[in-house]
Amino acid sequence: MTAATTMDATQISPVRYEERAFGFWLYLMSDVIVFALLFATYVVMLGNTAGGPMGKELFSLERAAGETALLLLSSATFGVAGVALARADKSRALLWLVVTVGEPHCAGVCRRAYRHHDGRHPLDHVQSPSPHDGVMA
Amino acid sequence: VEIFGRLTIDALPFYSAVAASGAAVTVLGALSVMAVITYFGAWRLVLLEWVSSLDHKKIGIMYIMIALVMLLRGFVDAAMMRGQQAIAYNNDGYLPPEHFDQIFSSHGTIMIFFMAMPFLSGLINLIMPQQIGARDVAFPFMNSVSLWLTAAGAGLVLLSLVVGKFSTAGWTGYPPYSGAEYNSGVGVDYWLWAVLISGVGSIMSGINFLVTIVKCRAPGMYLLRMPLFTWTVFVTSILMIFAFPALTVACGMLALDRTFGMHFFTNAMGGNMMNYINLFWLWGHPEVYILILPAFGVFSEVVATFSQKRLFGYTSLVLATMAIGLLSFTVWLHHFFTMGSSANVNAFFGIMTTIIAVPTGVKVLDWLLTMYRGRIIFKPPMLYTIGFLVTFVIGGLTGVLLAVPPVDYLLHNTTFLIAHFHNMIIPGVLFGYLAGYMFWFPKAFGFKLDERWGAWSFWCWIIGFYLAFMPLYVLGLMGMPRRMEHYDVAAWQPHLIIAAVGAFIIFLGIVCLGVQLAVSIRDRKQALDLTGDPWNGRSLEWATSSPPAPYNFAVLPQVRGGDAFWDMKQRGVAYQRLAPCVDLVLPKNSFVGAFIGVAGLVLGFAIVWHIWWLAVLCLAIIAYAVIVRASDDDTGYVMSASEVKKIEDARFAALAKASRNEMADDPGFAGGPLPESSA
Repeated sequence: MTAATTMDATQISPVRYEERAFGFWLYLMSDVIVFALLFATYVVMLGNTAGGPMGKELFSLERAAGETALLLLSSATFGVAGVALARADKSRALLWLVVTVGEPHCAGVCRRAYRHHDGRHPLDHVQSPSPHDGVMA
Repeated sequence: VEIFGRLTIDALPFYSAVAASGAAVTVLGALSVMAVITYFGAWRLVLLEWVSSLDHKKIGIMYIMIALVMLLRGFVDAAMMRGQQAIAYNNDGYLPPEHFDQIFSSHGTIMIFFMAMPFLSGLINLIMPQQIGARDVAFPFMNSVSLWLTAAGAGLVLLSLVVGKFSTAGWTGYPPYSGAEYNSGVGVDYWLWAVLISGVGSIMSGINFLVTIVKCRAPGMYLLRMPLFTWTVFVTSILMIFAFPALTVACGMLALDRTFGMHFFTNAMGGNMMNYINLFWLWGHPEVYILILPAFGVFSEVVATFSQKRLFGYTSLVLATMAIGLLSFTVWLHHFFTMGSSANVNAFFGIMTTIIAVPTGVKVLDWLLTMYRGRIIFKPPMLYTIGFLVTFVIGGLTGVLLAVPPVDYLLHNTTFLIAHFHNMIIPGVLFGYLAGYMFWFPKAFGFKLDERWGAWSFWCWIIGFYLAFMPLYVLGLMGMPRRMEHYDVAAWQPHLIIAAVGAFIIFLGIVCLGVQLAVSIRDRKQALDLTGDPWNGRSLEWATSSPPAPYNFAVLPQVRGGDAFWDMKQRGVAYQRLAPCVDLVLPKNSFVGAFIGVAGLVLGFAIVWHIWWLAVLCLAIIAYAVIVRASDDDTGYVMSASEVKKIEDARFAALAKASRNEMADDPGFAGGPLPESSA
């Protein structure tokens, strides 16, 4: 057996990539459950602030909506970059990757604009319940 | 900040003779294993051929070794509890309450997480890839990581016996009792991190098994041709992937509460402990089916093989398995009917609980009808299967009783409940795994286990089971709560003494298992499995040699129908050399999995004792190891065609020496499948 065949035989076959993609998708699905349960816990505990400020006073829905939209947009453009990659279209893939990277910077500009408008960050005045035990005590 | 966190010399168990001897046994056990390896000069073999192995069969065997060791430890806990309760009428017995509480907590934790889970992963690893005609699991390296993370969790539980104490909060760890306010020691932390670390391994195992079944089947092995064991693994893997995150979330938040003073489940400051109980059982109920479905798979294989008949109602068994998988996510609330949900919520979960008994009933009937008009051979795996069928139905009936919320209000947390779930898990899960162990042992090692000692172990287990748990039903109806360290009701004591006798007979059953193994190793030359098909089997794992070659199949089998191997024998092509040998790529051994396991163990230990620098170091090391491994493009090696041919030649030479099936000598043998040519 020559060195060349050794090389060929140890190359990862397309089938192996397919297995990895499926396995990774399953991992993401189990992560989805983690987040679903964390959200459920958030909903259950929404009002349990031990006398502290409620979420309504801390979070601005408009802001969150804007950020979520940007996040989804970046996922979408990343997806488009992936499609271009699958078609081996390097320049288009690079273009969409640049767009994807650019979006958070837009978001940063927006955030600064928002802060300027609001005067201060909403989390500036937060008082969390004081831990009465554990290492933080 | 102390360099060793809260770890001091006081953590050593010199405060109690019982605790100190437990620690001594653990340490001596570990030392004697090392001494034996050194005596036989086997360190190279152990490290190079086993610890670093990525071969799914060796990983499976190591899983089962962990399971058997932990079965012993979990049983010692059980025996100590039975002994205490048998004598603790109007006196303190020999165990102080704090110690008794640790024992019932570690008993449950060990039996579920570190006996049943490794046993199940072991059997699946050993058999499932062979049943679908695959050469390995989809991700051999991740398989090794899963194994060593499970071992790390088990190691953490064992370590708690030597350094510090274990949890006193039961295997379910309910807050607020398990919170820092009432339980500030290391016990609950040991429990949490043992469960969290091994849980990561379980999710990865689930992903690995599912991808293997979906993507790695041999040509022609359509889904509805898969053996039933593989089907149950398919559903169990889905449950693992979707249920274990709930455990991670519940335990993760409890850890945040305990370590960083958060308030997810605390009594005050807006904590909601009922949320923990919901999350825990959102994992906990599917977990019951994660454990039992593969055991159902084992029973399905065993009952067909030893009834010498095709499995009755294959499709209905597949559908019942799927139905159980789905319904297992709809019944979790029956673990806490008394929490105070509305009557309608309780009624819904009560009804769902009754409904989930239906597919299980379908399975029982299918197994009975497989035996009907079969020619049954009473080998030990078949004894365990019949013992399961009879006993499990009783447990199912008491389960349907408990599913009625008003009845549950009366029996909640009494020993009736304890009797019920042991009545499901011992015959359902453990008998299934033991049947699988005896059924597939020759496949793993090339020789059969002694049948006489196997039968003895069965009779001790089943008689011991009835004696140990039927009195608990009675005690529950008499109102005895679970987890009593001592009591003042004279009428309870006779039942508890009978239960202790039962535990002793179960102990004899475990002794028989040990003797069986020792005797079989001694007499292995008389019980060699030369054909690879010791029971006249039906599915593809019997097509390989015993033990199988590293690649399982030199040429991938072509499947033409259900009961694939039986079909091949019938067509007279089971032992044909169909194609010339070719080069095969196999995974190289790697120490990285074991290394991550050791780092995981130290990580858990560091967090338990608040040794933060060590915890950060371990996390960094694990991340580094994963990155190094992921960047390694050279993870396989080529087994040359000539090497494969040499192994295959030896295999066919052995086959030529043993031309008839080992079962043909059995008095009950109904005849093998005749090749078409000679029929």
